Amino acid sequence: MSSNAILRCEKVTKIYRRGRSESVHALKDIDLEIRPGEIIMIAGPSGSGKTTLLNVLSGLDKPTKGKILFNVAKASEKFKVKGLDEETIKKQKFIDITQWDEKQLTEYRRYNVGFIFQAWELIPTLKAIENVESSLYPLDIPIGEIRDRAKKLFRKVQLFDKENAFPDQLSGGEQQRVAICRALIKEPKIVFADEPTGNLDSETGEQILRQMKLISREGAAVVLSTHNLELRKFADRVIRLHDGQITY
Amino acid sequence: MAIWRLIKNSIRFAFRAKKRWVTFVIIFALLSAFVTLFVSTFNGYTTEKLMSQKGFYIKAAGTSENTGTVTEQQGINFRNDIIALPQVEKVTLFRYFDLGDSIRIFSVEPDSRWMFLEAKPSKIVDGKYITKNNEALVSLDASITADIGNLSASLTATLHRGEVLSFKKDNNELDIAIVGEIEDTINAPGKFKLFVSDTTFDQIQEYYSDNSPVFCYSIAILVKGDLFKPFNHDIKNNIEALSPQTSIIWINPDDPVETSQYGVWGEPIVPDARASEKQRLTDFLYFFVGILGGMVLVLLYNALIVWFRKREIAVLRAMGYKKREIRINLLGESLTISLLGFIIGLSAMLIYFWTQGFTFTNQVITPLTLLMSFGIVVGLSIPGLLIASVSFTRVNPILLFKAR
Repeated sequence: MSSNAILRCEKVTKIYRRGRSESVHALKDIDLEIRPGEIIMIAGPSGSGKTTLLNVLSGLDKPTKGKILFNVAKASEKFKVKGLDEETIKKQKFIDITQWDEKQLTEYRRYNVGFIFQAWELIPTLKAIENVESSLYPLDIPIGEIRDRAKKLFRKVQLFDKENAFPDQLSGGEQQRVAICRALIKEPKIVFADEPTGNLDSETGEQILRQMKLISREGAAVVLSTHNLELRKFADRVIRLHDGQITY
Repeated sequence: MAIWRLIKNSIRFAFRAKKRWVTFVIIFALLSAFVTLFVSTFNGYTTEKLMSQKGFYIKAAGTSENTGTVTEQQGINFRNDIIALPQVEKVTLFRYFDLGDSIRIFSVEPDSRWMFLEAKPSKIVDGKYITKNNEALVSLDASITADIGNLSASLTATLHRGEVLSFKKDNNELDIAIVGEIEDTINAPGKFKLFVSDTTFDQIQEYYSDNSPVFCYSIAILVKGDLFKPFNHDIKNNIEALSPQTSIIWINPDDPVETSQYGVWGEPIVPDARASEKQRLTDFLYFFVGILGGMVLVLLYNALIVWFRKREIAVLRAMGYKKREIRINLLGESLTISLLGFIIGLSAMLIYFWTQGFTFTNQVITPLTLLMSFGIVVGLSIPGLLIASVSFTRVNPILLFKAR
């Protein structure tokens, strides 16, 4: 096991039950290591298990079997693991998040994980900048600092003069960039992006991926799923999934 | 700090939901208006409906400008005999005496104000009811004529709310504040009518009227029984037991023994016990259906808000919002909408009450009415959302990974 990894999964299997007798193996014995600053592209056709893999890695869903080990030594400073003292954390370093309860997983996502969704999922009643800031509203960070961070990100993704626009006043590419800002404002350790270019034309899609590349240079690992292999040039590693198994 | 940001955010959620919030503000406004109306109906049972539902009212016969057919003592005899009856809960005497030729003073008890049919609070046109000694109501636009002594002439002035009437004799002086003006339905034309508390009445009568004789204008009797128990028959049974034909309440004007003891009274005005009971049942049914409807609507709205915000809830959960923080967000939105609707609905209802001549003083609309409708429309949002939040805990952020 590389001590440099931020997240590692070992023999992760996810089985969905359909009815009483039928079961679907969405993931089968997945082994994967995610290191800070790299872009991992999970490619595969529809139904190959890409989304399920993102769900379990991000703590939104639990695998049926296997371990997902999070490197707490590389976690956000504000992240505290309830029930584990600092001594244990120092010794263990990697902690299996599949053993965590809902509250612990919420803390994990709150401080360490950013999401970018295929349909952007901006909150329609909030302005672009409020959508971005809303990631930090529950945290004890002064509003001035939150506003500064948001504005800096807007400049970085070249969303000038769009701060006060509502989502329905933005183009698809602009909405996706707002979604990127929202994922990044809390300075996450890992960003999960599910088909982030799925609803965009190829030119805008490439722009978005260039920006993802910039994100990863700042230290965050980016795990993105896509069915478009033409985008592999933006990835450090490509993992192909087929029927829930890694095929490389 | 963070909590205020969440509350502010929830208010944005509420106001920027455009058509939806306008729809629900209107719904809540209507709800507030209806709930206020229903609660007022309920309140009416402690006030206006007392006499019509469980009261006997008997007026002294032939009372007019210059005659009194029942003396104070006869009235007291009558009251003492009635109060001894097991079916009777309360009896009040409406007394008066004349001060000079043009002033008639009536005694009312502020605690039993709804039993004085000619001087009950809902007859107030301007001002409030008396609440203590040295306060008075006057008949509307009544003018008072004063003898100005040596000039052998008189001066007429109209008394209004806010003015003070001073009685002076020897070293005694009594100032009475006019706190309200009341619709005049007492048959005593040309008299200036002043309504004061029992104590002030006795004081004026003793010190300033040279002990003018006191008469009884009417007597009001409440039977025992709780108006707030619509399925209980005590009131009907007591009213029927005291029906004029079988009880002391009926005084035969042709019987010299009775009339010398009690004076000459008119026929009792008795509520129709069965109709009253039916009416009470209907009112309570409306009240409960109205309140229940309000509660269901509030609970439904809070369930709907969770449904409408399903994707937002999923986004917030994915971002790491705790359930408590999401609850604050939704509660803020729900409270904002319901509070706004409450203010609009209540304002509309108050305007309606105002056009109908109701005021705070007549106890149909009271702070309790407002508190109850606030509690139902706005306060219920809190448990409503907590119940509804059971469903939002089931909202799984995984749905966000599925394209719309």
